[in-house]
Formats: sequence, structure tokens, C-alpha cells
Amino acid sequence: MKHPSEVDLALYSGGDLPFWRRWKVAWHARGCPECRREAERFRDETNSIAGAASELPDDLNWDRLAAEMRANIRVGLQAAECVAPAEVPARAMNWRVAVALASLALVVVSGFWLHAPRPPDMAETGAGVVLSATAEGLELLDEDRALTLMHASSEPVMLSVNVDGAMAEHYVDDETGMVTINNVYVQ
Amino acid sequence: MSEALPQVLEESADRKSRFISDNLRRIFVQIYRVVGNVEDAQDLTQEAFIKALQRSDQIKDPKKAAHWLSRIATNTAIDFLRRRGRVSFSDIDELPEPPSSEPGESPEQMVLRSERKLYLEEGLAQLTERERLALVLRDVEGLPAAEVAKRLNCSKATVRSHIANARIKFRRYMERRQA
Repeated sequence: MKHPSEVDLALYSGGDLPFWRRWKVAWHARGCPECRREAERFRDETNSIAGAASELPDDLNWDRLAAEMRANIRVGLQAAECVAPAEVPARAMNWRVAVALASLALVVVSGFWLHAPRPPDMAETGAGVVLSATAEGLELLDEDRALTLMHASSEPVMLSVNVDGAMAEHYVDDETGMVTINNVYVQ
Repeated sequence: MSEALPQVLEESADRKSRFISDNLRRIFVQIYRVVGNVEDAQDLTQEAFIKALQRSDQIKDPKKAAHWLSRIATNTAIDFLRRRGRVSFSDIDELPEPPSSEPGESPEQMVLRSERKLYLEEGLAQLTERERLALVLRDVEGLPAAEVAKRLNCSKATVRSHIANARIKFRRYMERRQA
């Protein structure tokens, strides 16, 4: 009969073997009084270590030592407070973050608004003249006066506006069948 | 508000004081078993408490706080051993101090208790640093092997090997004493 190693018995006694090895040693120990006794001896020694380890050294005046340690801990804590960096109040920190985020949001919204595409059917010019697209064509309005460049198409017309205030329409002329482009610039 | 602040500070001071009283002896003994001498154990116990109490928000739940403090104590002791490189246990040939008696203890019990402590200290001195740490954490503190592995920053298999070696060496030492 092959006995488990001393290492395995030492670990088995404290329940430290992995499942399969533990099972093998337990199975063996069931039929082997010698190994069972060995494991029990390990267990007794472990218990005696645990019992003795909770006691203080013999020559120690615990009350005096404990009082000294308490005093030193208090002094240590006070010293640590003195040298600790000043804490930044959490609330002040939050305000700073909030202001930074609000500023960032303002920049993003302003940028978007300034660069947002305008509606393609109307472009304003500088001197009160309004250029707009109607069902008939491109129309210039100056107070009560109007000028319309009409297109001759029954097909849908494609309109485009550029940032300078110009407007263009692309369509297929009904009479000629040609693609025609009208550009209107306002100064 | 101005009246509540001193009260909060007072409660916090009371809590810290209670925390120290409840755990001082346990932590001192735990560190003493690892480093092996009273002077270093005293310094390290103080260091562990100062570290723990600087995070006083962690001591509201006494049970969790005690566990957390044990971890700090172990790590403080491990750091110390690493810094120092080796452990200077008290010389085993040194004559032991006369044993002190506990209340209600017979002279025979006193001698037995004293002998047991001496054996423990001498037995622990036979082990390597890692073996001693593993044995103290596993058999004295009762931590599972996985937790010991975490604290020693090594694998479970390594911890098992340390524990087995420590138990076997301890047994050999006890056999020599009894021979």
C-alpha cells in the first residue's frame, strides 16, 4: 500500500488540499491507522500553534505598552493631519467642472448655430433685398418691388444657396429639353 | 450647524478610540508573530493603526473594519520584512524570562503555558519568512489559502507549499524538543 506523502498529510490535516487529492488522502486514511494518526498529530500541532500564538510574550507589560502605543497613535494621527495636503472641497470642484462643461457646451452650440445650413428657399442679402425661391422661379424683393427670373419647367427644380447670398436653380427646360442653370447674385 | 460640528468630531474621536481598544492587542500579537520582536511589533502596530485611522470613513462597520485592519497590519509587516531583508528573531539560546501568571492559573498550568509559548517562538524562528507568514496567516489568523495567496502576492500552489513546509518543519522541531 502506497502512503500519501508527508506534504499531503500536512496539507490534508488543515483542509488545504485540492478536492481530488483530498479525496484520495481521505480514502487512504480511512483504511490506514498510521496515516490517520499522522494527520491527527499535524492537526493537534496546528491547534496548539493557534492557541499559543494568541498569547502575549511572557516578559511584556501589556498595560504599559498599550498605553504607550495609544499615545503614539494619537500623536501620529495629529502629525499626519498637519502634513496632509489641504483638501479641495468637493463642492467647489463640482462647480468648476460645471462651469467648464457649460462653457464647452456654449462653444459647441454657437459653432453649430453659426455653421448650420440655412433653408434653401430663401437667402437674405445685405441691403434689405431678399432673394427667394417661388414656384415660378427665383424672386428678388426690395421693399414693394419684385423681380422674378421664371423657369420653364414642369419637372421638379433643384435649388441651392451659397454662403454669399447667391441662389441657383437647376431644371430641365420643357421646350428645349436641355438642363438649364440659373444663378442669381445679389450685391 | 456650529453646534453639530464639535459633536461629530467628538463622536469620531470616540469611534477611533474604541477601534484602537478593540483591536490593539490582536493586531500587536499578529504582527509580533510575524516579525518576532516586541520593539518592531510596537512600531508596526502603531504604523498600521495610523494608516487605518487616516481613512476613518472605513471604520463605521466594526467587523469589516477589523478585517480591513488585519490586512493593513499584514501588509505593513510584509513591507517591513522586505525592507529589512531578514528577520532577527530573539536568540533561542537566550534564557527565557520568568513566566508571568494569569489569574486563577496553577503553577503547573503556568509552566505549561509558558513552555508552549517558548516552543512556538522557537518553532517559528526555524521557518523562512514566507513560511512563517503563510503559517501565521493560515493557522493563527485562520485565513483561507486563497486569501493568504492574495496577501503574499503569490499563487495558491506556492502558499500550499509554504504551509506544508512550515507544518513539517514545526513538527521536526517539536520532535527534537521532545526527544
